[in-house]
Amino acid sequence: MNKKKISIGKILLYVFLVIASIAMIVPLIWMLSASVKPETQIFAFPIRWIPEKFMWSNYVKVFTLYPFMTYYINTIKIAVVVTLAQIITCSMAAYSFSKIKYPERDKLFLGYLSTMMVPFQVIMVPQFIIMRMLGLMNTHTALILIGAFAPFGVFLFRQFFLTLPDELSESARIDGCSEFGIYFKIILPLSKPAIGSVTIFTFVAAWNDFLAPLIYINTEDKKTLQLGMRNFQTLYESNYGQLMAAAVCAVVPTILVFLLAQDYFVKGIATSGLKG
Amino acid sequence: MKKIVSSILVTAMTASLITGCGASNDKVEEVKKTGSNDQVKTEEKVDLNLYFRSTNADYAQQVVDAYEAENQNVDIELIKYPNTDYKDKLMVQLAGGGDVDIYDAGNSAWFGDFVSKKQALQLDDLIARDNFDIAPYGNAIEELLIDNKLYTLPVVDSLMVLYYNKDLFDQAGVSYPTEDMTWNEFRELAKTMTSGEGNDKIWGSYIHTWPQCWYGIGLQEGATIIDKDLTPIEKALQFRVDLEEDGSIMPYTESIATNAHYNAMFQSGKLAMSPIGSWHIGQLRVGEAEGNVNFDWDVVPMPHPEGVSPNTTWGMTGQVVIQPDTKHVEEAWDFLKYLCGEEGAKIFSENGVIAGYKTDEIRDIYVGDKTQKPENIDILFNQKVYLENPAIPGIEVVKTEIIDKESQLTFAGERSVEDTMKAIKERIEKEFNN
Amino acid sequence: MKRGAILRKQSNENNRLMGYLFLLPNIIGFAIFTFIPVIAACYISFTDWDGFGKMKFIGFQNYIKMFSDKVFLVSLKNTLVYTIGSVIPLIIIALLVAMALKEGMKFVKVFRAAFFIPHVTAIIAIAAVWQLLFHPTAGPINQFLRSVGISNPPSWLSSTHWAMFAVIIMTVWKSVGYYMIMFLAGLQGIPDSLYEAASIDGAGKFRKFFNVTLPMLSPVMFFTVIIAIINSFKIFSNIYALTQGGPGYSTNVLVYNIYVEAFQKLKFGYASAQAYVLFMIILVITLVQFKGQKKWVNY
Repeated sequence: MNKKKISIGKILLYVFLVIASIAMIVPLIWMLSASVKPETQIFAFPIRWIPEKFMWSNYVKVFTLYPFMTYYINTIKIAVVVTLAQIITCSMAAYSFSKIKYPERDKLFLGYLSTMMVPFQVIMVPQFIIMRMLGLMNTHTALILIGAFAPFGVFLFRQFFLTLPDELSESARIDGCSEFGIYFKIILPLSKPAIGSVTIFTFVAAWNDFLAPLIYINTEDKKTLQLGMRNFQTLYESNYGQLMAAAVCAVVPTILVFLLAQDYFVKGIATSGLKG
Repeated sequence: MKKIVSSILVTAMTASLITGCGASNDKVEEVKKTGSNDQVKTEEKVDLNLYFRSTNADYAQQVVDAYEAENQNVDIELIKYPNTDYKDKLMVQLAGGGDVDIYDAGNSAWFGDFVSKKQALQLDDLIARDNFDIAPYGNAIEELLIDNKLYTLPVVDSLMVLYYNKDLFDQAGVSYPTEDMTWNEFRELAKTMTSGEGNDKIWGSYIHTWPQCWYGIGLQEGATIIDKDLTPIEKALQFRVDLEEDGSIMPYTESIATNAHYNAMFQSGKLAMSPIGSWHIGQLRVGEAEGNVNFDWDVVPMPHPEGVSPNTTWGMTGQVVIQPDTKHVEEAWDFLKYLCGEEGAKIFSENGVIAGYKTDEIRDIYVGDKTQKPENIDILFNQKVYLENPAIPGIEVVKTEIIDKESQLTFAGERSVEDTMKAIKERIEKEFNN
Repeated sequence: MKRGAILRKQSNENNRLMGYLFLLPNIIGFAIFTFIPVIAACYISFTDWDGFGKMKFIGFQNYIKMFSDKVFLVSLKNTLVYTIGSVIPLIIIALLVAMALKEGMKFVKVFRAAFFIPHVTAIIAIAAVWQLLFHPTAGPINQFLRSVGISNPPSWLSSTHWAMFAVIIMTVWKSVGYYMIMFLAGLQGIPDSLYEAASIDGAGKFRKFFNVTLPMLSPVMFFTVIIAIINSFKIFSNIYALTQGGPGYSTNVLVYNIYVEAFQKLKFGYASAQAYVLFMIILVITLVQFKGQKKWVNY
């Protein structure tokens, strides 16, 4: 009967997902395992997933050899501010690029978007010169300003807004609603999945950013986690145990943000309330 | 409107890029004019920044602290980053006109590049003016001259020596490596000392994956990697291939795949001989303190090719440079003398790092009271050291892009030594001589 | 009709003002910190700037030089191979996973997190693990291949023929979660009522997929494909961490080459020119997509 067929299909699906998920987190498990092993055993074959002895000293070293807590706080601060700035400014820009009509709109958007196609490596130096002229060397402000205005967020929001029918905003306009009101009270609430996505992507990108902090930050008290982790991997030493411990510590908040942002991935009520 | 504003900004920006980016050596002129003993050092507060690679940055910090204690009006900020990151960051700072006063110019190859880009202040006049004694730097000064001018002072250096695990030799009943071994004798010894399988495997030797670890053998004959005749380098490449075939060293591809490292390997007690740099002494001492090194070990000079005298090896200098655009030339110079001179050398030596400034006193500090291994530490001071790279602009790229990349194909078993050397020669011809 | 007349009354001027007002917060920052550097980099590509001295204008020399530069051409080829080889599996797998992990399934948050974790994990850790997995003799992958009868498995990262393939495998594994999220967001926007209506019409799973899911997903698909292509063309840190362009030049991709030219060979002018060639390629592909969206994207 039908019920039986569904169960088998679902069971297979679950089995497959479990296997795939394990495959996905294998490196994380390896990292956890390596973070508690002595250096000589980390790369030994055969790979030993559960170490004989748990060497927690790596974690202790990570927090004592370097101001890891400071790196943590710095990174959280930058990532949160950049994420909020992106959500606000990118959704506004996307609203303009999708819901307001003016002739040069789409060409402008393409020009804007095309800057994403230039690798950071070649704009690094001119950008650095500008930052220096603005006196923003060794500041978090510099990192925030770089991260807050990315075309990616605008593109994502715009794409999403385009799926919301124009009639929504048009009818609100006719009812006398201001543009900002339409944006804030109608479009944004319907864009939860987009907000959720941008939150995740932007937070993770800011969290894992390495090049910009390298260029703009000089002093230990302002460094971020990604910079801090490089301390464990110098030319003459390769302290993989400590590096992995640092990497494990660094990955936790991003997973948390991901889990929290999941609440935004609920079914949209996009087309309800719209008739005629 | 946006277009107009942005075009103005662009023009302004590019204009400043074009005009502002040349470093000038006007400062040298200034110094000359102030005359011989007219110290322009002011008593007002001076901020300097010092860029240093993180390997020895902690010791540099000690030097900074000592200097600041004696010179209350100077505040030195130490900016440190691990190796490759350091170079990238320094490049951007220098290219973008950031504030760099004094910086660690990396190995001699980087140094050559920096000088060719006018990022180093010429020091000859300052040295003459202050009668600064550069004799303790020995041969290094000559090696670092560019167009017969001196742009730097060495701060630390390192050289390659052969470490060996005494216990393993005792267990195998084999005599220790001697102070005068040819590479062929080394090869035999490595074969003899290799034994076992899997977790019990003992490696006769381990050659790290950096290209200079194999091409150094060619350097011992006095060759360089940009010679017209690269025969010594070819022999060196062949030698590494031979060692791999003998089975006495870990294959290159396996080293890469397992992120193998000489430090971990030697400390594990499964490596009989390890030819690597003098900085490894510090690492082993730390290992002993942490209880990870439980065997007796010592050092001997590197083996040498037939026909080359013993006590010949290769190594690297670390040198510090003053950025010409600095606003405080006098103060920077004063600190440079301290950092690279006697006082700094003392601090580095106390920390087990060989200083560029070499006097008997400094050497004694480094050698210490002989309570720590290696017993044979004296040999470090009577080696003839060839630089891994001469201070020639553009040579870093030859090492990392040409020699390293091309040799990888041989190590992957995809191309013969002969063909690889042909490819290397061709590329050096084409790219370096450009 | 009254409505039409009112709509027509809205003048372009008003709209334009509003439009720019909304753009303002983002555009100012963007103009200063991204747009100007991008233009500057374009200018630099026509010079021989080495990062330090004066910039001498040399016209199109850099661009001409590129096409006889073997290393550049190899990098270009590698980048194309990499993009095609990774984008196609990524999109397909990410979509399938997103569909499997729809809202309402048990443990769905856990599964999604599992797929997402590779994306957020430090590349250095990921590279270390994959190096071990790909080990030619002792690594699990080749051991498995031998156990199923393949006596001469590829030597992966040690081989110039297989290294790129290995990089692609690692990339797909790492980024599936990233693109999965985009598809999840898109799938959530598809009203259940459409599926119900299709069921009533007698549509089975495949019909529903092709007639409801794909069309409704097309805006997100459009976005995802463009982003995936841009990201693939710009790939850098995966290569930097795993192979550094080797063995030889078999995994040298364009952005890695640009990095080497700029920061190691001190040829900023030449590097910028290469970057702009890359830019042109991506731009053309994207423009084609934008023009083509009328045909397959439903808004």
